[in-house]
Amino acid sequence: MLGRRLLHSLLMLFLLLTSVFFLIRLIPGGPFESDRILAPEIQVQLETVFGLRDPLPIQYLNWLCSIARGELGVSFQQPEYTVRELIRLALPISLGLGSMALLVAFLLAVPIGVLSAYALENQRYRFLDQVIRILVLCATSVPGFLLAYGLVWVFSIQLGWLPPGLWAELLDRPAYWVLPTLTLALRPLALISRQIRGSTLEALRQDYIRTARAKGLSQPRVLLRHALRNAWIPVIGLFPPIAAQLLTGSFLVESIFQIPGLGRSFVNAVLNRDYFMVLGSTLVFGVVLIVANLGSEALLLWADPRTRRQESP
Amino acid sequence: MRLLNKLMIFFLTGVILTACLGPLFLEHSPETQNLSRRLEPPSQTYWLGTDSLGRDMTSRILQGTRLSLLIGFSSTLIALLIGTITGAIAGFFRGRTEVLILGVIDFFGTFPTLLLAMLVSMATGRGLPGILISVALIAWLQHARLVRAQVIQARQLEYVEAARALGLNPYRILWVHILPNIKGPILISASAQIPSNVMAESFLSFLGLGVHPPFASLGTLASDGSRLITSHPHLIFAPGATLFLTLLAAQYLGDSIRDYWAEEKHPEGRESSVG
Repeated sequence: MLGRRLLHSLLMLFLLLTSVFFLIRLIPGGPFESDRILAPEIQVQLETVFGLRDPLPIQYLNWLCSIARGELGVSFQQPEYTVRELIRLALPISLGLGSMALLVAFLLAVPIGVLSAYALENQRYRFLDQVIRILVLCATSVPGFLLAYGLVWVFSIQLGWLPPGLWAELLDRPAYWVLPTLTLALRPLALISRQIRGSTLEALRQDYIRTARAKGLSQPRVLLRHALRNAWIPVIGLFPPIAAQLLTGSFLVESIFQIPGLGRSFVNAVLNRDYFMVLGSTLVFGVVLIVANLGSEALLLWADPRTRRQESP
Repeated sequence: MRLLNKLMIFFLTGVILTACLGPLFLEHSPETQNLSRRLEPPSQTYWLGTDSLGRDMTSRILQGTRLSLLIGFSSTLIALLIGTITGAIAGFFRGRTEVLILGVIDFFGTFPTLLLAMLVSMATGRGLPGILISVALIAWLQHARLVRAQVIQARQLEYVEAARALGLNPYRILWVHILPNIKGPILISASAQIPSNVMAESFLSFLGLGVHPPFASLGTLASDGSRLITSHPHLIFAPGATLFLTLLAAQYLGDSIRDYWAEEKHPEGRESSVG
């Protein structure tokens, strides 16, 4: 079943790249039309060099051939690099930031979700669940750029604790990672903690929890060892939307904090009509989304034996 | 929580009314520039200060709120229209049509949303139509999936069978009999989508793909203000806070409506989740 899904995903990826290839040519303006106007001859010359004067179907075939060879073309913005080299430089940064954000989100969301469910179960702490609910709602309601600038304003401009942007290796200067990671982590955090809260509540209603309580197990043990054990499984199903969120988030966070990751170079590439860079990044993003999709499905099969026998509808 | 619901309704109504009627009472128009009074902090004459061209931030924010809400509503409406038609057709007729429509939905699903939005709004040029189309193109998938699932469920019910037995035209069954019966969940998901569309618009505006100047949505205002964050933080935080609070109220209400609906449908589940 996963094999068929993979084939389907690859077909979709191919369609995606093809449509991006043609759609991006529909955008008015070209890669060499900037504020400083080039002489027409130079522009023609440049376009000839990059093969942009061939008929579009020919260009498309050429590009497909180059992909088959594992080449992604050159970047118009930085012609000294190939797109593959640029991606190789930028992707690890984005992946590192994304996994860091995911880690932070997960580590914070699980206790928040469990606490929230526990509070709802006990009449005395009902207000705590409401407080958490509103905080989580705040997290989903705040536009990313506003959050980023809010954090910068408080922690960099007012307090001067953290750098407002730029980038350094995690081990050299962890301070540079704090604000981007927080900004990126907030949305997945909200998503995961909602899921954990819901599925913990669901689990607490089951018979095996009643049994555990009847045995006289302590409340934390029932929650963490028995309820959470089943409750975290649906979180795996959230990986695809989280991957999409992190992707979109990386465009924003990397642009605001001037991080040289793939998200920022992608936004710049689209705005500058850097055709091959856009296509190369789209390919990477598509692969990331497919991996998240199929990976979460495979993980679900592994984590929950009940899903193994079910046929997909 | 009843109290908070009322509070949010009150706040949202207030925002909508102020945004629509406020300009009638304000002395400064959002477009009038006053270069001798640039970048003023909030004061008695200019409640929320002035921007880099000396325009009154209060009336600009009101105008921006109006525009943001307008974009949120109309893009949801467009998405609802496309999603309902495609989803209903896919769910009702099944077979090849469904496979085709599902393929299209899947295809749009693999598109990184931001790329799609950027491509569309760059192709159509900056302006309201481009923004509406690109936000709606992201949003319609959700409706199409939901409507399809609902229609598949409904077409097995007896009233549809009865309508069929009467020999009614399938389109008539779909639009006159099925759709009115499943409108609840569809409208709920649409109401939840308005804030996320407003957010998507602010995101595009932040990247410079928003509406034309001199018009500005809340997102455009905040992103313009972000350049002067060190010296004049009110330029980003006044429109930003408006955007945030409006979205928060809208999402809170959306959640409450959804919970209420779930309670109506499955009262037994709700009971134990409270207990």
